[in-house]
Amino acid sequence: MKEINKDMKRNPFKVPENYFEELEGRILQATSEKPVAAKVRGIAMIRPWLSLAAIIAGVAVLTMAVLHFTEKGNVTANGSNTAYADVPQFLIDGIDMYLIDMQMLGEAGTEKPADDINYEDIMEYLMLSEVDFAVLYEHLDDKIQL
Amino acid sequence: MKSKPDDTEILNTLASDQERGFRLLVEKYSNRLYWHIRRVVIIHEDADDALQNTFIKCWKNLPEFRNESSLYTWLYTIATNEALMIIRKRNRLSENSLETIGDLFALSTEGDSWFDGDHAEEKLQNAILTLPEKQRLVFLMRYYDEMSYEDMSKITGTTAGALKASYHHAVRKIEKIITS
Repeated sequence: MKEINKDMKRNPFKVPENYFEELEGRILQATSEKPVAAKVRGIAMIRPWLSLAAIIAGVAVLTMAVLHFTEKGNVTANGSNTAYADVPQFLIDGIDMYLIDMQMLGEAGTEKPADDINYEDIMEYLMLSEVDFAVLYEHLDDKIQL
Repeated sequence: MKSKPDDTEILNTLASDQERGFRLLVEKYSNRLYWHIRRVVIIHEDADDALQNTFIKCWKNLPEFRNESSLYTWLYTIATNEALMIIRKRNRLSENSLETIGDLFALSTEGDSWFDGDHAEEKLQNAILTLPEKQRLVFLMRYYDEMSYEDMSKITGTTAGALKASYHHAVRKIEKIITS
């Protein structure tokens, strides 16, 4: 420790004039808003609407099934089912919507629900995929426990 | 001159009045954290960014802060992470090698405007830059901040024994460089 003596400990760096005087104000301004919960993004944002659409579609399917089995055998001359022909158009549209929604969530609900995947699983997967940790940290910094 | 509040007083104020408590925290630690970050990142603009991010993260995470760790080591941990993030980002984005403080000044818009060291001090800073990341942190915290190994252990997540060895190894390396 002879060469790295106390004289060399002098701070060789300097800051712009009034930097520290203005710093506190800038920090307090940057943190003037109360901490808020992280914004919900992506598919999570429309998940409540998808759930509602799925419920409506489910009711529609159930209604159709009831109508189909109670009116079984009552077929018109051109071969169409009377009960099906009487189903209002909005219920048919509902079925299409249900199928599209379920495809968006993953092959008509056969996949594991996304809710089962937690944050640690995602982090582990990304790390194993050799994604740069610094990049991960920048994007997910709100979730990292310090 | 008004004395700076101790951490217990800051924590008590934070519990009763978060905004006032945070102001006390910024007043007490902004200068100290700035110089810790600055010695790691060298460039003033980068230190300023990292310091602001440190306090923003601190503000956001205040509700999760538990008295299990001291306020001082908690803030140093955040500041150190922010400083390291800046270094890693800089290394990733730069096409040139960043081995000396001159390389860093050349990269920044501020140049060497905020450096007034003499040749010996420049040599010392360059020698510190040759150390591996963690060893550099250990050296800076011990040599400049005179931090205890116990506190450094909490910040770096390394045992005090390993830190002592790392520090002495760093000193030997630096001495060798500046005497060559």
